[in-house]
Amino acid sequence: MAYFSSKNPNKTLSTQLTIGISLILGVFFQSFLNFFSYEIYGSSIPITLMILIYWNIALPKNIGLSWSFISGILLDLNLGYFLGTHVILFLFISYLTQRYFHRIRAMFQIQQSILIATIVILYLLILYVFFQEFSFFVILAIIFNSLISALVWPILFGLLRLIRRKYTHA
Amino acid sequence: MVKEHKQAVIAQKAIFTTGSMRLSRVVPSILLAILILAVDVRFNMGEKIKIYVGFATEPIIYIPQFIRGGWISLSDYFKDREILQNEILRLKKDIDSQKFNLVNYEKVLQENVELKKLLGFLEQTSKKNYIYGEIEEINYAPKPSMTVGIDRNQKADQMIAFNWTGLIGSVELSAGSKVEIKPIFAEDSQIPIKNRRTNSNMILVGTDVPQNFLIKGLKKNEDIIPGDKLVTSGLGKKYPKGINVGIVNKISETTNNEFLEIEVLGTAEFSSGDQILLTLP
Repeated sequence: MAYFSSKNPNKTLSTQLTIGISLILGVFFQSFLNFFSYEIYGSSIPITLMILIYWNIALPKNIGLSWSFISGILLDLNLGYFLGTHVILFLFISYLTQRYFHRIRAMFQIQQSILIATIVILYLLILYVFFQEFSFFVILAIIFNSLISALVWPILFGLLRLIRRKYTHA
Repeated sequence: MVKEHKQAVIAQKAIFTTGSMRLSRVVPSILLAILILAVDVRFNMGEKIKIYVGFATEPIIYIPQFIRGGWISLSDYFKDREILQNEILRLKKDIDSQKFNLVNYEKVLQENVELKKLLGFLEQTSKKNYIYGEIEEINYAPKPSMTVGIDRNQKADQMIAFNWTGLIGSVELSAGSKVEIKPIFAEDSQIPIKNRRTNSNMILVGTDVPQNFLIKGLKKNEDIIPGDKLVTSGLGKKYPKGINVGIVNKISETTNNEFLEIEVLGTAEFSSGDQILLTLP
């Protein structure tokens, strides 16, 4: 994994562990939510994506693209998508967030929430349009999930910031 | 305000700043992901990986089911507990109500026993006039007395009082719905009696102590022995004839006196029961 190279002295083991554990927990939690929301059109809020976006904004130099790859593969395996589906989406979103993390960091909390809602809408649309049956209820589920994601974002942001300050040395 | 201004300045600067991430870095990874996707779609190679991963992560997959099942069991447990608690509370209330009913029933039973006994005493009187009343208050100081509640429009003057144990006294004062009973054991009370065994007349004198009487003025040669039953003689017409009042308890002789001193144990318990029969002698 070239992305874990030690060129950057800030990439410590504890930082990578924190990022990794939080993403794996995110994958697990998303699968858990998906299991419970199976009866309501099988969609849930994309916690893993939101965690990934946070780390991309907070520690863009530490996270690289490996964690997008790993978490995408894990999510594909867990949720039963074709291998690589989430990987492509995560890599693309990671690229955008790492590219423009200065701007996202400078945004107000509400602006960040709107941005997250937009990303989640696009992410879920792509997932549903290309990989699942599409219907009117799917649109409702997507809108609902994006709204919930926007509401959850400030909480997740605060929680992950707390974890970052306590467990990472970046 | 200062914070918002600072935020705005940072934002303005940030618009023209981009991160070090370049598209050239991400393209190989995306191409690799597309290749994996294509292979998975075309050859379904990911299926085996999924099966192996599935086996490896089987316990993890079952965790949500396990948690869901556990949650259902837990909620059922608490629901059942709540139902049981409510049932216990209902039964406790039921028990309390039954206890109350039992107390009432016992009270009614006791009242019936008392009334039956009182009816028996009524047979021994003239039955000209009688009143049923309930004990309201009993006092022992400064002198023993009992207050009985009766109907307001009834007259209880010159009546005698029975409770379920026997003759207990006579009406001393009657006002409205209250009647004051003077007990037969009052110190100034004198009851004409006779010995049921010998039919000899004598006077029973009270001592102010419940169930405790004295007989005075009997000579030493009088035929009386402990255990003799004493009944009212009916003389003086204050008390009816033939009512049990006591049993001779102790006979003592004094050397410098020609009379006997006789202690009598009263038959009736002054403060027993709730019902009182007031009747003319």
